[in-house]
This record gives sequence, structure tokens and C-alpha cells, in this order.
Amino acid sequence: MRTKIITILTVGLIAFGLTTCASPNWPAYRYTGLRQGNQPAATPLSDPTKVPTLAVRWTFTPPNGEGGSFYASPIIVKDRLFIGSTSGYFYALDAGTGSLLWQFPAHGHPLMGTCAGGGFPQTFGQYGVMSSAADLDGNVVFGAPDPDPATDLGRGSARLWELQESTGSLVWKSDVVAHVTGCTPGAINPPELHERIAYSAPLALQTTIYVGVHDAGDDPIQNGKVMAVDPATGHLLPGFSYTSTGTRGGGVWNGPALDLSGGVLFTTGNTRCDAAGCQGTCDALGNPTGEPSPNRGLSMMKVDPTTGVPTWQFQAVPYCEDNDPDWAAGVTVMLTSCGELAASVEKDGWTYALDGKSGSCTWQFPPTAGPSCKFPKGVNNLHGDTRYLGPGAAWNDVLIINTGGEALVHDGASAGFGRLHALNACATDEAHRVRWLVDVPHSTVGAGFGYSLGAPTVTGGIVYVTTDQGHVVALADPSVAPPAGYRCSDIDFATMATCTAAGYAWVPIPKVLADVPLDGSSAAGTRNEAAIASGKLFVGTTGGHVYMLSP
Amino acid sequence: MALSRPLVHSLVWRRLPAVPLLVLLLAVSACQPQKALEGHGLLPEAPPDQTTSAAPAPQAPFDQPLGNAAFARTVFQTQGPSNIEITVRDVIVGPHAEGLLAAAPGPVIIDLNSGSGSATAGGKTLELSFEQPASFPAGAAITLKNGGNIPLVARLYTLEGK
Repeated sequence: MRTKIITILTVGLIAFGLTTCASPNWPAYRYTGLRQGNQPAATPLSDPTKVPTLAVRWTFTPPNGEGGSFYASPIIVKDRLFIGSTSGYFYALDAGTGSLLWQFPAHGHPLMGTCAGGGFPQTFGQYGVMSSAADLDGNVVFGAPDPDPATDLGRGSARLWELQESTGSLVWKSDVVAHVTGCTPGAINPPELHERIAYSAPLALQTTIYVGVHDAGDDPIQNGKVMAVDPATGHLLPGFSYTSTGTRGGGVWNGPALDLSGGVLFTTGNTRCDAAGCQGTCDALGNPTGEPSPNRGLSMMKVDPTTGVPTWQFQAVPYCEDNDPDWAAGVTVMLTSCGELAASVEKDGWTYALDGKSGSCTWQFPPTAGPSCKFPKGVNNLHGDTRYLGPGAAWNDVLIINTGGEALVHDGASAGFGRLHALNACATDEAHRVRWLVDVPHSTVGAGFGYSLGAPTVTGGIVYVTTDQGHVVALADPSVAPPAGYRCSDIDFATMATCTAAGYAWVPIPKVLADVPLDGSSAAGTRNEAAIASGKLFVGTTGGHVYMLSP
Repeated sequence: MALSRPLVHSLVWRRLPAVPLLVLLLAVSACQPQKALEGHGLLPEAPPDQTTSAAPAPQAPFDQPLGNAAFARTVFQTQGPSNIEITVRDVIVGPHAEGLLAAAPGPVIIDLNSGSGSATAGGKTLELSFEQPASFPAGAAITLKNGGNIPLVARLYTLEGK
């Protein structure tokens, strides 16, 4: 008997060991279904000797001329790939071959409302499936408009959809999460709701599914929300309530993430002005009249998972300086050697790492606003609609992120376009914050409109990032492969002597291990992220293709 | 010397509880190449032969030294109204360092972008702040002092009558 017990115990421990040992990959949007973006381990795609042979192994093109773009990121579950298209269809592919397993709905019946609103992709109800899916117990969940005329006249009010992963059969469609009650751009008097799920990827847990609600091109801004849905039934959970303001603003543009203590983390968009005008006024000193109360716009939020009541809020940009620097990148939950950090970049290019428990600022990059990391009132024109939209990828104490960089404060917002930074999250002084910096090849560097890079993925120090010029690029942290050279952490200094004298760091440029062209359309999308599973890399493009690459 | 069967049995049984722990240890050891302690700490400094940037040359470098640890660049120059020439420069002063701006032929306005410090000219010292630009009259040599641990970054507007 004792031998049997010990045998069972031994087998159990071997299983535990193998589980711990197993390559965790990056199979979901933001690494796993918890959306933490924090991948500590190596996988087969971490081998710097094999990555240079990365090549496209299959390409998927939607059938029947359905077209569309992939703004959602692929997820991989048990050798199946799931991804939604702006054409209004959701596809399941064989991850090994790229062949179509099923699609939902059937051809000719896309998840697309009738309200056009602004131009694509800022339509009120015609954005299709931009929401990266979540895996939940053999089912897959995503957000999209419901074309059913019985749903707000089919304008494009959006729900969550849960499908069986094996067959594509509908399990449920949720109660309406985002309402579209009219199609008039800028409509505020009389009011119309132009709510969307669009870019928000659901956070699907056993007990609750959370998803964000935002607007369409600020036309006009909507009251930002996080909605909680019962995974068993698809009904809204009445005990949970979160809205960003008492009026409008603070849209939730990305997927919520679960923090280590069970709180729900997300970021919120602008509040002050939109297509319908500005809420209130501001005097020359930056003192507002008419600021919504509460105002949880432009914030990183942590809320109670059961009630939605805020646990903490961090808002770096004051109301009167809100020129639309939405906080639209999601939160990376970093478990570092210096504690739990909640990290993200605001659309103006400043990156923040907050203490996960208290929400107090641990550091800001670049460190412009002092220890509080909060900008003073009355200092305008720094915080605009400047497109740092992609969440970061964490590798232990390293945060890899598209951020404005040291030059943000003297070159303006474009300083970081096309540039990827690795930041030492636990550096004890600002001079060592930047770990490395690279101009990503085949992306629009230092110019353009800021859609240069997708959201990075990391495994074992190898970083994968998609570009607006249609490439997927693999970079090696210099601890994994020798760097390509060195440069100043401030891009406007050319020698080590002047760089360090000015107070910046002389940092490595990570080696480019692979630079693979895809279809020539943007592979970066808004924040397209590559998925990793079983030694394979999966990428969707705005040109409407899904690719599998492997060494 | 051969061990008796009861003795072997006793030794095995006594050690059996250690077996699962040993297996776990081996399993975890086997994982080490996959779960390396990477992504911690700082990278080593650049080797001595890597002192010139391998990145493309800066488009707008800080190429005007203002001392040992202070630099400027001219970003804009134009003819304003009433024959006034306007020059816009960016200045960076390293942590706890000073930069000396030669006497300007016109008034100078200093707008702080990042960091903390002061500006002194003609015996007058102004603390720099985000909220309120500092200004000095024509003909004053200005010393910019960085009092903090991060670079002081400011934009300077010089108005020169022609």
C-alpha cells in the first residue's frame, strides 16, 4: 500500500514537473487567457540559432471572397487557430496546415450592423470581429455586432458570442453589451449611443467574462464601461458595474487583464473633447469647469472583480491637458524581482509602471513628471492622439514596448514610432531604465502616423513584432545573442561620450534574427500580436491573410 | 560483505519517501534550460571599441556643446515681425551639470520640458518650472544648472532685433 501511495505521489510530481517544464508558448492574445502579457520562459522559438530560418509555412485567405482585415490577433487552442475578421466572420483553422475547419456565421450572414458612422475602422456597427478571442473550457468567446433586426434594429449593437471550438456551433450570444441606438455622427442632442466592443478582447474566467466598451472615433465619445457576463448563460451579471464617468468619456479600448490578487486591470480613453465639442471649459492655468464626476478617463484602473468598484486609479494627465492621449494599450502584469508591476504606455508615448497593489507610480518613462509621474496642470500640447496603442510584453524584469523614448520630450511624439524599447523594470536609477533600443526594420521609423508596430511577443528573450510594412521581425535580447552594435538611449546623440555626458545610457541594439515579408499590407494593424504555439508563429494582417511561420 | 534481505528492505523503505522529492528535483533541473533566469539584472556595458553609434545618424543631433555635459541644437530660425529674428533651440544639461549660454543679442525665454534646475544671469537666478517659462533680457550670459538626477531638457526662444 505504501509503495502504491509513493508511486502515485511520484507520478503526480513528475506530471507537475512536466507541467512546470512544458513550454508555455504565447498562445493567446496577451500570452494567456489572463491577458497579463508576461511570458517568463523559453520555448522552441527561443533558440537564436534556429530563429533565422523562420519562414512562412502556410497562408490562409478567407474563402468566398469575404475579404476583410485581421485587426484581431490569432489564438491557438489544441492545434486549432481562431481569429475574427472585419468582414464579420470568425474562422477556425487547423494550426498545422492552415485549412479552414469552420467559420461563423455561414457565408452571406456576417456579424455586421447597418450603422456606418465614421470611416472604417471607426464605424458604429460595421467593424465585424476586431476583438481577439478567448478560450474558455472548449468554447471560444469574442465580441462583435449583432445584425439581428430584433437587436436595436440591427444597427450594430454588440454582444459576446460563445462558440464550440470543435464545431463552431453557437453556445450563446450574450445580452447586449454595447448599444448603437442611432447612426448620426456626433449625435449628442438628442443623444444616441454609439458604443462598441470592437478592439476589446474579453477576459474569460470560469466565473465571469469581462469586456470593455468604447466609442467609434470619438463621434462622440461614449461613457467607458467594463461589462461582466455570466459564462454559463451569457447574461450580464447585475452585481458588477463599472462606468468611467458620470457623463461620457473614458472608453475601454483593450482587453482587461487579471492581476495577481484577482483584480481586473484596464486602461481608459479620453474624456474632454470629441466630435460634439468639449465638456466644460478650462482656464489658462488648467483649472476646469464642467469636468465629469467621476472622471476615470485617461487612467489605468484596477477594479474589484465582483462589484466593479475601483480599487485604485492612476491618471497622469490632468483633465485640461487631455488632447486625446487615450490610454488604449492594455496592462502588462509583471511579476518582477522588485514586485508586481502594472505597466502600460499611454497614447502620448509615456510609459508607466505602477505598484500592482497600491496603484502608485513606480516609474515613468521618459521620467518627465517627477516622482509622482503626474503632469502638472496648465502645461498643454504634450498629450495628443499620437498612437502608442500597443501593450508591452514582459520577460521577467524586462518590459518590451513601443514607447516614445528619451527623445519624446524634445522631438515630439513621433520620436518612438517604429522603435522598440526594452526597459529594465527594476533598475534603481533612470540612467539604467533603457536596456536596449532598436529601429525595427521594415517599419515606419520616426515618422508617419504611428501605426508602425504591432504589439510585441516575447519568449526566452527573443522578441517577435509585426510591422506596418508587412513584415514579422525577430530580435534577440543581447543576453541571448550578441548585439548588432550600440547607440544612445536618446536617439539624437551619436557618440558614447556626448550621450553619457548628457545623462543618457549607451545601450545595445538587439540583433535582428529574422525579417520575414508577408503580404505587403500592415501586419501591425492597430496592435496586432503574433501568437506562439508548438514552435510555430501565427500572424494576421490587415491585408486579410493569416500566416504560420516556423524555423 | 553481503547485506541481509531485511536490512536492504529496511533501507529502501526508509529512503522511499525521498524518491518523489528526488524525481521532482530532477524534473525541475531538466527544466532549467527552458526556464532560465534570464530577463533579470542589467546587461554588461559596451566594449571599449563600441563608442560610435551603430544606428542611423541622428536627423537633428545635439551638436553644439555648452560645456562638458550640456548640449544644444538649433531647431528653427525665422524672420519675425518688426525685423525680429526668432531662433528656437533645444538644450540638454546632464544630471548635476551646468551649461553656459553665450550672451544673446536679444531676450531669451526658457521653457522647461523635463527635469529640474535653474537659470542664472546677471546675478539673477530663476528656478525653472513647467508652468512658467523663465525670461532674461538681452545681453546676459545664462548659466543653466541641472539640480536633478535626470537630464534637464529645455526649449530656448531667442528674439533678436535686426
